[in-house]
Amino acid sequence: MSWDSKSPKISKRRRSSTSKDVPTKAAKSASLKALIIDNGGYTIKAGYNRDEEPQIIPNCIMKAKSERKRLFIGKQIDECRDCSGLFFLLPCEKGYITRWEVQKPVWDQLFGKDVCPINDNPTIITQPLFNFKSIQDCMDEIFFEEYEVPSLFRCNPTDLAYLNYAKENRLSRNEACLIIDSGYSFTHIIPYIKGNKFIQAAKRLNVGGKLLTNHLKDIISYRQYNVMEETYVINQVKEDTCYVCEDVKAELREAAKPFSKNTIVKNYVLPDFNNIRRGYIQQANKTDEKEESCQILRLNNERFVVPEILFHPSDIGMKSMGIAEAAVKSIYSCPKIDRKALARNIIIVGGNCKFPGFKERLYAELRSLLPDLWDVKVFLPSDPITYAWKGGGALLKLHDFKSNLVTRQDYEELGSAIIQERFNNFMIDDSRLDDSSKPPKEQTNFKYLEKLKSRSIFGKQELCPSGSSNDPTNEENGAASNSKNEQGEDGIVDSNKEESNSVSDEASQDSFQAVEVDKGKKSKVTQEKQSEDDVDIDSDVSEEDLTKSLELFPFGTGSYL
Amino acid sequence: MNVDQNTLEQKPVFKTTSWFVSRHNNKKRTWKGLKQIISSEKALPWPDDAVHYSSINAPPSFTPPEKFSDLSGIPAPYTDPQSRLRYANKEEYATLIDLPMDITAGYLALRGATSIVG
Repeated sequence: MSWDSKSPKISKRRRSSTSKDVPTKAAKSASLKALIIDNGGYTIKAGYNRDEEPQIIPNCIMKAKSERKRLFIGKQIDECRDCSGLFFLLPCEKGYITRWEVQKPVWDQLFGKDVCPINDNPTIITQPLFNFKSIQDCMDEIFFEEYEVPSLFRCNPTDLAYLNYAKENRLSRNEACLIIDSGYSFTHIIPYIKGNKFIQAAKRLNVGGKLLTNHLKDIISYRQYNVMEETYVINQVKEDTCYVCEDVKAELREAAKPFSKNTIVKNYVLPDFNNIRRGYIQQANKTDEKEESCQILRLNNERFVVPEILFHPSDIGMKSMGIAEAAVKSIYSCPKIDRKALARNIIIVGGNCKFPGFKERLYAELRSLLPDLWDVKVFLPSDPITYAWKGGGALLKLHDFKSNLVTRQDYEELGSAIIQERFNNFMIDDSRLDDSSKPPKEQTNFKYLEKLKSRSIFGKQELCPSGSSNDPTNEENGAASNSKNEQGEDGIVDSNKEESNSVSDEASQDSFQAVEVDKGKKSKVTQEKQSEDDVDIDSDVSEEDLTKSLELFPFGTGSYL
Repeated sequence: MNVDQNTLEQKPVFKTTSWFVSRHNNKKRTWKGLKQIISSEKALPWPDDAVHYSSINAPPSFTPPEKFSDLSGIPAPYTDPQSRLRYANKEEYATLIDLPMDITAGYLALRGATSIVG
């Protein structure tokens, strides 16, 4: 019995191992079938890579007032007749899963027989950028030990969106992209350069759909009805009526007009869950008798003020940049060569992009903030919510995807620490990070500052560093410089040359402390040589009184001394 | 036969068809909240140039925040020094001077201006 259930798996494993040895691309992509789960804060998008569209399932457990005894898990909410006063239990806190007692039943239901069974297929699940270790541990445990998936892969939803965009537009690897993912819990702005995330320039705004819904709820509760309990309904109100305006000031002036002349004000018919299941915008000049008995919500400037928070979080007292400003900041934190390409390839995904006018507004703001010569293009997919999920197919087609996949054997042998490193380093290029951080540090070579230090014009004399002998990395080449240092300490009068030498040693050490040690070793030797050479050349100058040097003090030192 | 046993040992078989039914533990497990997780993450010895959760937070904006009336939402040039509410015209002022304390506090909370300094 048990043997039967096991045998297909073993044959599969064997096949995968052979295909790893002999890379045959076509056969691999044809044979791979994987479950892709975009585990969002509000909805889970799940389905197999061959499916056309994913299933969208609410990622929460709900309690209804009408049926007090029952919990509605995920999709079961469709069975609920009266959605007034719906109470949400959300698994995520600011987008990170912290309430596993909520997340687990939702997943249980999702992977159950009738929704989306795993059936021994590889599983790809998304996680937010910089997911915490304890959360990843828990996820590993649940997937490998509880669901017993044969292999697992975790990546960021933005990775998938990038891959999807790159595939659709046949981008070359050198073309940089900026992905803006504005979801339920937060908004991430992540540049992709040469196919990898450039995380130094990544930005996160803690503004998402949840915050907008809650704010709308607050406003309405203060201005009209108390709807603090009606998150579900107000979320629908937000989806149906809110939009992003081009110019807030002008729009506000329009909204301040009296009702008859006002084009913004809309009456929203609230659902009563008897005749009307879902609210809608009331048509002007038409009154249904059905609506007579219903409550009507009048929305005026709330319609555009609420989404405005995405662009100006300072409106509600958040000390944070808006999306456009943060995107520009992110672009400018990237290497110079790639900035132009980033402005050209801006992809917006996530539920907030569905606000009408969002793309136009973002474009207008970016256009005014970026240089005139650059092309600015904002790409809004036809369905921004499932766009990332659709990138799962592109992920499977990556040539090195199989090697990134973690099998259960790997998990049992290596433990979660190692496999998490594999997940977290996906699409992050380490060599690039070193390259980008190195050159600016080496270039800051202020020769005269070293001299000034050694000559102690500005007060205290700095002794040569004692750290150089303690430093373990210095052992090989340190012998020579150490002896020099001792000389310098013993006979301060001896020669300026020695001193300035030791100081420049110190400077070179400083510049290398931040850089990786083993790489620093080699180039350090060369730099020391260089600095020695420098001193030799400049030694004539250093022997003179520096305070009289015209080069340093063209106007004399009288004002300093 | 020997081989079979080896493979059996490699993979313990306890998977049943009803695997998706959650295990029933009577004791309730409590999980760390996000704040705890973040603070423990911050306490880790990070190198200076490392990028992590807290460091990618978008910095404060360079543009000053716009001022809108708390009552109506239209641009407000005035602030009531007593309640700190913003208002656009004298009609609004007439309403807001009569507002009870809890309502004004609510309006301020709505704008996120509850701090004493702001």
